Amino acid sequence: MGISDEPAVAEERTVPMGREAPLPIRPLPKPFNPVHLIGPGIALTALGVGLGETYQWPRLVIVFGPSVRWLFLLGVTVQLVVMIEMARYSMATGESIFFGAARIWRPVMWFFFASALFIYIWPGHMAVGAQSIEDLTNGRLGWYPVAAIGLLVVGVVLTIAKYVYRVVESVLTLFVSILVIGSAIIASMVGSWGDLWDTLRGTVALGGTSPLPSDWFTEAWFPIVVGAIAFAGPSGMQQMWYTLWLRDKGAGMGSYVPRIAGLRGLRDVEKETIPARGYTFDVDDEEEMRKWQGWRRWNFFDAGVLFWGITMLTTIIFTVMAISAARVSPETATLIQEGEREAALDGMAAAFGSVSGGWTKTVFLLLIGVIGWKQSFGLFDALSRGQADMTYYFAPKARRWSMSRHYIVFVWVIILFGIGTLSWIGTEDGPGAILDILAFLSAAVMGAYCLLLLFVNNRLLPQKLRPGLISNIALGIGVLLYLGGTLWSWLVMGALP
Amino acid sequence: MPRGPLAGALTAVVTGGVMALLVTIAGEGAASFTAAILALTVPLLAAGVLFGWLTDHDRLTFGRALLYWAAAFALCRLAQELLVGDRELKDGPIGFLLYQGIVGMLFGLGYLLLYQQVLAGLHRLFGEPAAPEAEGGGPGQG
Repeated sequence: MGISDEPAVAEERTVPMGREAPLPIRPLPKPFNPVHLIGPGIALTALGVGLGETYQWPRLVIVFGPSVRWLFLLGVTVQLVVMIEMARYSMATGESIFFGAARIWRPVMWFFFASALFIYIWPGHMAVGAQSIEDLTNGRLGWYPVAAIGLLVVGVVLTIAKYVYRVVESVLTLFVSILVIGSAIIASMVGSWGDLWDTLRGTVALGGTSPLPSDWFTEAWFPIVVGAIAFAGPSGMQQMWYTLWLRDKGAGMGSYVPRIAGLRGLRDVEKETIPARGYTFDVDDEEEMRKWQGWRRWNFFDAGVLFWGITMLTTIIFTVMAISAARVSPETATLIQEGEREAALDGMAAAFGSVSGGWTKTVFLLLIGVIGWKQSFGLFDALSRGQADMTYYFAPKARRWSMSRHYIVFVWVIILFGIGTLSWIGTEDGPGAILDILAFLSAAVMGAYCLLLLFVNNRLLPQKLRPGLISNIALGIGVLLYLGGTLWSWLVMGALP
Repeated sequence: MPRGPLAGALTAVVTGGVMALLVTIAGEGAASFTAAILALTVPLLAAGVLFGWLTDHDRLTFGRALLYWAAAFALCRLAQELLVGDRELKDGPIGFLLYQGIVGMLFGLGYLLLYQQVLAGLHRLFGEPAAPEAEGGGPGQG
């Protein structure tokens, strides 16, 4: 495999960008059809619609009432803007946002490298999903072996793929379709118009309960609330990894960078030359700018309809189910308030079972299990992808291996470490504790990437490609919500999950 | 049978099959729920075939497809309730249909995603090349 480190030839036009090599100008490819279903947006949605929407927010609704859901709407909408801004950088340069961080200052990129490992050491999603399977089988299948086997399956699937992104996209799309159809069927059986109306009113902060309950500002709940805001939509570094999926999809200038391959595609992909940096296009050419607007439309659909739409609809439906659960089983709310975290799953499942003869309980528990697995699948792909990207481009001597080889090694290191992590913390405090830690840490790094986006897109990108005022305000709100919330919780309240 | 209606039918059957499987796993005795599952699956099957036909003839955009499922799912649930339910609709007929229609939009999103996967599978099975970007067809094809 080769890498083109050669300096730009004299006549080649380049665009300087930050501290790294300037980007050569190439033609911007023609945009995809804006109306689409299968793409990076649905992969991110598959990750985004996870335990935050189906477990953490319903749990808050059970305890505090539907009026607290306005904060979810705010969180998801900020995430929508973040997603669009991530895509702006990636489609304009063909680089990941990590490369953008390096263009500011390489230690910033290494901060995200370390953060990713530190946050995703905890396989919280798999743990909670496996616990749901334990509940489903009345303890016959223990959560730990289920989680460990689930992690190994993730590793095998990612390793034997020919082109990894294609497999990830297909698997996540299949799983999210099962999740969406399954939850729609349960909700159609157990919910009602009244529950839906309460949820919709709560989403815009109108309702019988307080939109800002005083209990939220206690040591017990504040870190969990901060984590839940982070889990509204894609949490942690998922948005940063979206830029890597966009590149493998060939969106915008990403079409100039080779894809990540598994073992079966390794030989083919290693024949291709990986450029030492991305490319950009001529912003003074009207035709190029017209194509750029086409790519933006494609991304708006990806982010606005697929991500925002599905996330909002799914979470509204799960909240309806939570309200219905609380009505049928008021003791569930009491147990959670007393600190029985796992009671949320048991209570919701029991409530659904009581409504329709038991089978909706099974569907619900299976859905939580499915969510846990597919999220770990997507997260470990993306985590390995991001770490491989940063290692390949910026670690000394790393280019002796292809990026795909780095990817496969990271997949297995993370999975084996994850299995070890499960046995270390999970058996002490239970899977729910891992999830709370993950959510809380996610919030801190999300605040950091909002700051990064503000800087990268406003300072590094050419003037004509920079974001507008509304996007910048939304990113500022993101900094306050995520970073401000985490620091307040930790430094002022002294509260950690 | 043209690919679209076939994919529409298969997707509906998969949905019904999953429900049956779940009931069985739950140990509820599939027999006692067979009528309920059939009463939902059969109307969904009809709606799925029509959906596939409309898609094949380019009659459905993404937005129209969601509206189609909002209406079709609500009617399917109404049929199920009237055929095998206790015939007491929650919130009355209008409230019931409104609620089921909104849930139906979510169902429609999931159905569209699954439909595209099934259609892509049919293309692979019968050798017809998939669309370049979405590897499938229908509303939302990229």
